[in-house]
Amino acid sequence: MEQVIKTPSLCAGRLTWRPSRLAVLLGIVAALVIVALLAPLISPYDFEAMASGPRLSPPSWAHWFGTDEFGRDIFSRILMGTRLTLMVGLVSVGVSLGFGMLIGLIAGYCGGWPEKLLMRGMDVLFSFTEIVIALSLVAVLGPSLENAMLAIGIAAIPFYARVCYGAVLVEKKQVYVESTIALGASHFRVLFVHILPNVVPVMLVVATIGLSNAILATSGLSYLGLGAQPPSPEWGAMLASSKNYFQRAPWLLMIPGGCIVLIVLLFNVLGEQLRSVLDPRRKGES
Amino acid sequence: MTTYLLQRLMSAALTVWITTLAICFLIHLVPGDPVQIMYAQSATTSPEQLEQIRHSLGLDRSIIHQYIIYMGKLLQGDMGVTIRGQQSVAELLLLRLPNTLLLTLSALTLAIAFGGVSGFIAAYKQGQWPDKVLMTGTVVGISVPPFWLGLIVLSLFSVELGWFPVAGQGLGSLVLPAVTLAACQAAVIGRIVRSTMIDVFAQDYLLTARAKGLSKPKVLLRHALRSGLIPIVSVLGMQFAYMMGGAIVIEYVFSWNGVGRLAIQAIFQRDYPLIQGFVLCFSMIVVLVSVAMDLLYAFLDPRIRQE
Repeated sequence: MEQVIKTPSLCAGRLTWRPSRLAVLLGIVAALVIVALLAPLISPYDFEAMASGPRLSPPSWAHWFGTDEFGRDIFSRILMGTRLTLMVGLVSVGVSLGFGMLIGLIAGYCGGWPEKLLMRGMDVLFSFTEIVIALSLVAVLGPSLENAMLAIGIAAIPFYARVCYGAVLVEKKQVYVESTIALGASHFRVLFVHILPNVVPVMLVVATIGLSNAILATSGLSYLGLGAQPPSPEWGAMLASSKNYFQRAPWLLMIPGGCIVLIVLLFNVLGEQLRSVLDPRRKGES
Repeated sequence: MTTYLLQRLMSAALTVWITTLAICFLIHLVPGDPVQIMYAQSATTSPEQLEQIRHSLGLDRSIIHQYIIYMGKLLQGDMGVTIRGQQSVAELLLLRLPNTLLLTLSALTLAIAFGGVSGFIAAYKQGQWPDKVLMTGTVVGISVPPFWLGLIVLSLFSVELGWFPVAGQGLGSLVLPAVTLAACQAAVIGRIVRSTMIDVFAQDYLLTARAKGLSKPKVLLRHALRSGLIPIVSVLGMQFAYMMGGAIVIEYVFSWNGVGRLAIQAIFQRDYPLIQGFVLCFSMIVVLVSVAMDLLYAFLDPRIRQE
C-alpha cells in the first residue's frame, strides 16, 4: 500500500535529500518519548489537581482539551498518560520479547525434546488466546496497572516464541552457522553471538507492532477496571472514570480514545515501515 | 485423513487436559489466602465458617488430592458453586453461553462478509485507489480499541439518535455489539483475504480460463474466489477465538448478558470457582472450533484429504 523509500533513508549528502517515511515516524516517536519524560514540566496544570478550571468545560484556550467531571485539566492528564502508555508498551513488550525470544532460540537451536516440550507448551498457551490468559492472571494477581501490563506481556509470549523459533530454524540451516561450528565455536557462542543478531530484525518488527497490541490490550483492561485504577491518567482509565459524562461532555470520550488510536496507529505504521526496510522481499506487501 | 483426524483430536484433548491442570493450580497463585480474599467483602463470615468453606472447596488438602477431586467432579459436569449466591457454575455458564455464541457468530459472519468483499476488491484493484483506500481503512481499523468504538456507537446510535435500545437481549440490541465486534476483525480478515487473493490472481489457470473464453465475472467468482477461500478457512478458527476474546469487552460495554460479562463480574467479586469455570468453558469452545475448522480445511483441500 505504501510507496517504500527508494533511496537509503539516512544518507545525507544527496542533493535532494528528503526525510523518508521511516525517519519521520521515528522522529514522531522520539518527540513522544520527550513529551512523556518532560510531562510534569510542560503540562500547564497539575494533572491531579481538582478544579483547575470549571467542571466539564469544553476545549478552550485555557484548557486545550477541556476539563473533566472534577475540573481536572485533560491536556495535562493526557500528557501524563503518554508516559504511562509508553511505559505499558515497553514493559509488556519487554516481558514477551525477553521470554519469547529465549524460548524460541532454545527450542529452535536445540531441537529434540526441548523443542517438543517448549513449542508444545507454546501451542497450548496459544490456544487459550491472549485475553483469557491476561484475564486469568489479573484475576489471580488483582487489578492494577502493573499486573495488567505484566499479564499482557506474559500472554503474548507464545506469539513471540513462535516467530523467533521460525526465524531460528531458517538461520540454523545457513552456511555461516555450519562454518562457525566447524571453526570450533561453542553452541552458546553460535546461538547468542551469531544467530541472535540475525533474528533481531524480524523480532524488531514484531515488537513494534506488539507495542500497539500491548497498548490496545492494556487500555481495554483499564477500561474494564482491571488495569490502571482511577484517578490514574492512563487513557483507558480516564475513559472508564468519566463514562457517565460522555453525553454532556463528548470530549471526555473523543480525546483519550483518539489518543489511543493515534499512538496505536503510529506503532502499526512504524512496524510496517520497518518491515519493508528490513525485509526487502516483502516490499509492496502490507 | 484418519491419522490426521486422530492426531488433531489427540492434541485437542491434550490442550484441554493441560487447561484443567492450569485452572486447578491457578488459585494457588493468588498472593495470600484465597478463601480470605474471596470473603473479604463479607465481613460477617466467622473463622469457623472460613474453615468450612476451605474444606468444601478442598483447599485444605494436598494439591494432587485437590486435582483428583476437581477432575472427578468435572467429569460429572460439576464445576462447583459460585461464591456469591451459591449458584451452580455450570448452569450459570450454560445459561449465558448462547448469548455469547449468538454475538460471536453474528459478528464473525459480518466480518467475513465485509472483510472478504473489501479484501477481494483491494486485491483485484491492487495498487490502485480502491486498494489504497481500503488498506488505509484496515490499518486504522486494527488501531481502534473495540471498546472505544463501542462507546462511540452506543452514545451515537442508542443514546443520541435512539435507533437501538441501550441495553437488553433482543435482536435490536444485538445489532450494535455485533457490528462493533465485526468492524475490528473485518480489518484483519480483509488484509488476509487481500494477500491470499493477490497470490491467486497471479496463477496461470486464471489466464487459461480467460483464454478459453470464460467471462471475467465467471473466472473471478468460480475460479479465483473458490481457491482463494481455502486459505481463509484455515484462519477462521483463530478468528473465532479472537472474536470470543473480543466479545468479553464488547459484552461489558453493551451490557450484553454473555459469559464474558459474567467473567468480568466474577473477577471483580473474586469469585474463583466462576472464573475457573469460565476459563475452562472458553478454552474448550476455542479448541473445539479450531479442530472443526482444521477438519473443514482438510475436507475442502483435496491435497490434504488424500494424504
